[in-house]
Formats: sequence, structure tokens, C-alpha cells
Amino acid sequence: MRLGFTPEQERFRAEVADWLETQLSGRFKPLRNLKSQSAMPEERRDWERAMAADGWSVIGWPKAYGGRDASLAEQVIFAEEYARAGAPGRMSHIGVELLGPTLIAFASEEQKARFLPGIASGDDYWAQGYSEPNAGSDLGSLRTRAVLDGDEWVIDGQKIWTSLARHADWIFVLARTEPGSRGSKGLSFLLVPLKQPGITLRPIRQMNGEAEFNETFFDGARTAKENVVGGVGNGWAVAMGLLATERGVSTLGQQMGFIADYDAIVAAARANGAIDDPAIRDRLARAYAGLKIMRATALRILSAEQLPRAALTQKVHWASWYRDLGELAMDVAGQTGEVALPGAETMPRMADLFLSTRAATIYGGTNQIQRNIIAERALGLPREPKG
Amino acid sequence: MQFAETSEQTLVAETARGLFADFAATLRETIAGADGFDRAEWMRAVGEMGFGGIAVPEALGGAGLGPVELALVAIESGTALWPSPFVPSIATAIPLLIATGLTEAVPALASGERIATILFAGDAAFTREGDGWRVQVEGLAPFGQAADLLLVVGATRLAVVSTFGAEPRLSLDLTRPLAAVSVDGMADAAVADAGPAIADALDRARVMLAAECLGAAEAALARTVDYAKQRVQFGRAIGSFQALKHRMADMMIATEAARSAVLYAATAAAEGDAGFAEAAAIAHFTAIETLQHCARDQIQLHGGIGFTWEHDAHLFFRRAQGAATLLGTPAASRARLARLIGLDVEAA
Repeated sequence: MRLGFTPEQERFRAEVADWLETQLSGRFKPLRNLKSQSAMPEERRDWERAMAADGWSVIGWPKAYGGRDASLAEQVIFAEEYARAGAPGRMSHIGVELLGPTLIAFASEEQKARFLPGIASGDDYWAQGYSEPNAGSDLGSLRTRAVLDGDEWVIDGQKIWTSLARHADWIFVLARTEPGSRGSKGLSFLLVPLKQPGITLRPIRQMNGEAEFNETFFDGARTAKENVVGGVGNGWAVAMGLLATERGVSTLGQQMGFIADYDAIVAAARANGAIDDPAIRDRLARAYAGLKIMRATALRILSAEQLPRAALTQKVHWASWYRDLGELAMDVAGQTGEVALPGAETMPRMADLFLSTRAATIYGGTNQIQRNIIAERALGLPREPKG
Repeated sequence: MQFAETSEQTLVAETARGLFADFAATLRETIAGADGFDRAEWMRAVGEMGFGGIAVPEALGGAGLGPVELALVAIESGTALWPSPFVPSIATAIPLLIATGLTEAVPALASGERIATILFAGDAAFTREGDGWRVQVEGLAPFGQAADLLLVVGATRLAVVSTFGAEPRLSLDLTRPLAAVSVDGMADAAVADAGPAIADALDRARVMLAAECLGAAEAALARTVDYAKQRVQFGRAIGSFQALKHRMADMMIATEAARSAVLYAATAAAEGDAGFAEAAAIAHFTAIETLQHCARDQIQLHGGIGFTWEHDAHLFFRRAQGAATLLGTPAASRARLARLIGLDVEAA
């Protein structure tokens, strides 16, 4: 076991930090420390293109597809420096972190050549079409269907919780391509252009007031016959492979972002004197320990040759930690934190954390479904009888 | 940066696992014995297998490996609830003696020939007398009656004492019983003004205690899972009921977090990382709380058999409480962490 970095890796760190500092103190200053995931979309697109131009957009990908073949240590360094610099949440996240690795693992060479360059260059943005109003935790009960009509798939149905769909160019859709099939069988993983007459978006306003998610309606939407990944009827395996990549370096990057939230709470506690309360200090120390432990767990998972059992525990662990952090934020802020500044249209940061963190234990698999997965797959406990 | 065990480290863990599994078969007889541990087991693990000197420099008769290897051994000893003075003698006394330069006894401790225990005291327990130090103190020390040496540990002072009274007491923790010890005499050797060295050695010891707690917590979970798979009620294995499954999942979430904390701290110790004291505090309170959590739920999820004397669940529950006071409490570690990261009021 080794925690330290080599001089060469430290040079890489300096290079990353230097690039980020230059960009974020210059042209992209308005994006620095931007908390909203949906604000300033045009500037964010420029940011993605700037990253791509200097080779920072997909460092973990193979060189053949526009990446740098970055080592684990380099990816860790990049994630750390990205967060430390206060760089903005990546609008390209779904393409770069989820779809890209999935295409690299499952797609044909033609598909890779067609779709990977657009992700790497920061030109094509993707949305995820898995969940449906009646297929959330029970994803296998999804009903969106796709039927071949000549050289095209025709898609009808509805997806929900499609994040950033308004800014996306494409959506990957898990759809039933075998009429009458049930559960995880008869599904295909389709790549669908998002901007077309057959697709309608309706934003979903979340409890914190932001609208990061959408409902996506498919009404005779079309995509080319060859835009199916991993073969017709094999969509479940591709979809599950994609979910596994969610536990990769992207999780580490997200956790690095939590550091900024923690720091903001400590700063608020100092500013209003809440830090004088030993109970608050104790909770802050616990929160800090949680950050360190999540990082160590991510490093363990990334360093392992095969995905270890610990990976299954990661989602509940960080989500519960984050939800608790939201409660701590409000307890630190007190009543003063319950009101916006005069004339402001958004709530202050502590209140926003308090509200927005309630979603963490739900999206990406609720804590309850995650516990089932841990119990059944990691601990080998018998399955719940299903009706 | 590569946060995974090397193949050599995995081999150490596997060797330890096999050995402690052998010992576990006779756990009840061992703890009923005179000193609460088995000297033959002790010599086999500490001496023959070399686990006593695994993290001791070669110049002092050790193997010259490090805290990671010692932690892997401690995890496995915890899995078996191995009743022995391993934590006080090997994991605590040795680093204290090395850190303070009082290394004379180290080779004999590392080989298992001699056993040391520890007693915390205020600095007032030490008074200068002639060229030496007089030590006057009473308190509780694990396996005190079996120890050849007593290390009296103050905030800035440390004394090695070989003449002391020790009276075993019926103890809550049956696998690491305490003895009432008393000292009133001249120290064999002592140091003063050694606050940072003592603090660092105690941090190292806390990481090993945390490793041992982690192993015990993982064992409590494994035993609970096994039981839930075979115990049938309402025509189903009880492990298929979500009310139980989710509690076991929570136990695993906790043990994996504790494993991350412990391995991180052990690696930080090995590398002399500047964040070691932080990492040690985190590992200490996290692993102890994890064992407390898993030991409680082991009892609950075993139902009636879980609160019997016959079942081992109470041994884990007792061990968890003993661990929570042995080298300072989890709350004290959290308070130390708060100071280390600048949350104390003075820094604000």
C-alpha cells in the first residue's frame, strides 16, 4: 500500500493546477465555485471545449479515443485539483463518465468512431434515459418501446429524471424492443438524437427550486437502426455495465466537490459563532472524518484489480453522509439562515444544501434498494420474494 | 499511489488468519484459564510466527516490516477475538519504548519472552528522586497480573516499572481482562518532556486497536449473516426479510468504512505522512464505533440465542466496550481530531 505520489506525478499535479488556475482566473472566472448544475450553460459549453482543446476532457480514456490513458494516480490527482480549483460541475459528465466508458466496453468500432470524438471534443452532450414514472427502483418493469420501421427505430414512451436533458444533443435510452418481453429481457440500449420533433421535454422543479431534471416524452421519435449498443435484446447487460462505471473515478471527483460544501459550513460556523458549541464541533469533526473515509474507500476501489465488495457500499455511504451534512449546514446557519438576503431570489447556501441533499439518498438508487443490493450481492443473503 | 495490499501483505494476512482460526476453536477454555490467555498460543504467534516483531526494526530483533503488516495481523487477531496481551504489549508498549528511546526491553517483548502492559497516569505520578524517577500510581491495566513490565504513561512522561502489584479483576471484557495495578517505587527507566513522542506512539497503538476492532466487527457481521441464512421462521430463512437484511447491509457499510479508515491510517504511519495523527484519530473512533454497532446488532439479529451466555455474541459486545476505554475513548479521539483540523475555539 502506498499513499504518496512520485515526483513525476507531482509534476503532473502542478501542470493540472496551473492550467486550472490560469483558466479560472482568466476567461472562465465567472464559472469558478459555481454551485448550480444548470446555470450558465453557454459558458459551460465553452469550458468543456477549452478543456478538450488542451487535452483535459477525457484523460482516463484510451489515447485512441482522444484520452491520455491517464493512470489511476493521475486521475485521482486531476479529480482533486479540479475540485480544489473550484472548477464547475461538468455538463459533459454523462457522456464523459458514463456513456464513453460504456461505448468503449460494449460498442462496435463504427459506433466508437462515430460517437466518442464528439464527447471528447466537448461538442456533443448526452442525457440518460433509464427511469420511467412506473419503473424507478424496479427498472426492469420499464415500458418505453422501440419498433423497427425500415432503417429506423421508432420509439414511444416516457422517461423521467433525465438530468441536463435541455442542454443535451443525444440521449441513451433503455427500451423494450421485443414486444411482450418482461423484466430485464428483450431490452435494447439505443442512442437517440434528442433534438427532434418526436421528443418533448418538460422540466421537473425540485424541492430546492432548481430544475436539473426533466421528463422526456417519446412520441414516434426516431433513430437509425445501427444505433443500438451491444446488440438487440442485450440492453440490460449494457445498462448494468454503465451503472458499474458510476462507481469509478467520477465518484471520487464528486466527493472532492463535497469538500467545498464542508469548508463552507465550517466558514459559516466560524462567522456566526456556531463553532463555539461543542456539539457542532463534534458533528463537524465527524463530517470531516467521513470525507477522509470516502476518499480512502474510493482509492481502495480504484486500486483493486477487480471491483471489490466495498464498491457496493459506496453509494449509501456517501449519500447518507451528504444528507447528514445538509442537516448540519442548517443547524449551523440557525434562524438567520432561513431567510434570503433582501431582494435575493435564491436561498442562501446553507439552506440550499439542507434542501438539495435530500435527493442524494434517492437518485442513483435509493438507500433502500442499495441495501437490498448489498445484502444480496455482497453478503449473499436470500432474495426477497417477488410478487 | 496504489492503495491495495501487496501480495506479500496478503500472505501475512492469510497466514495470520489460519493461525488465529486455530486458536479460536478453544477460545472459551483459554479465557477460563488462569491468566485469561494461553502462553503457548502467545509464543507461537508472537515468537515463532514473528508477529511480535513484525513492525520492529531489525536492529532491535524485529522483521523490519511496518504498521501495515502489523495492522493486517491485528485485524485477523480481532476476527478471532484472540485473548492475549497483543495490543498492550506488542502494539502499544513497543512503539512507546521505541519512540522514547527506552529500547532495552524491546527485543524481549518482540520475541514474546516478556510481556508489558500499560497504565495511564497524570504527570504528577512521576517525581524526580536522585538520578531517577519515583512513580506512585494506581489504576487498571490489561493482563496486569501476567505482565513482567508496566509502562506508566503520562502526558509528557513515561516510566518502565518491573516491580508493581497486580490483582486480576472480574472484567466486563472477558477477552481482555483488566487487573488492578499499583506502583510505589523507583522506575527502572524513565523519560520526561516526551509529549510528542508519546502522543505519536499512542496514535500508532490506536491504529492497531482499531484494526483489531475492525476484524472483530467483520467477524460479528459474518456470524450474523451465516445465522440469518440458516435460521428459518415463517417458512423462510430470516435473512430474506428486509428488516434484517437492511441492518446487515448497514453493518457492512460500517465495516467497509472502518476498513478504509484503518488501512489508510496504517499506510500513513508507514509513510510518515503529515496527516497521520488525523488519520489515527479517525481510524480509532470509527473502528470502535463500528464494532459497537456490529456487536449490538449481532445480539439483536440472533434473537433469543443472542443474549445467552453460551453464544459468543456477548464476547464481542464486551470487547467493544473494553476497546472503547483502553487507549482513550472514541469521543476523545474526535475531540483530538477537531483540534488537529483547527475546529477548536482558540483557532476560530
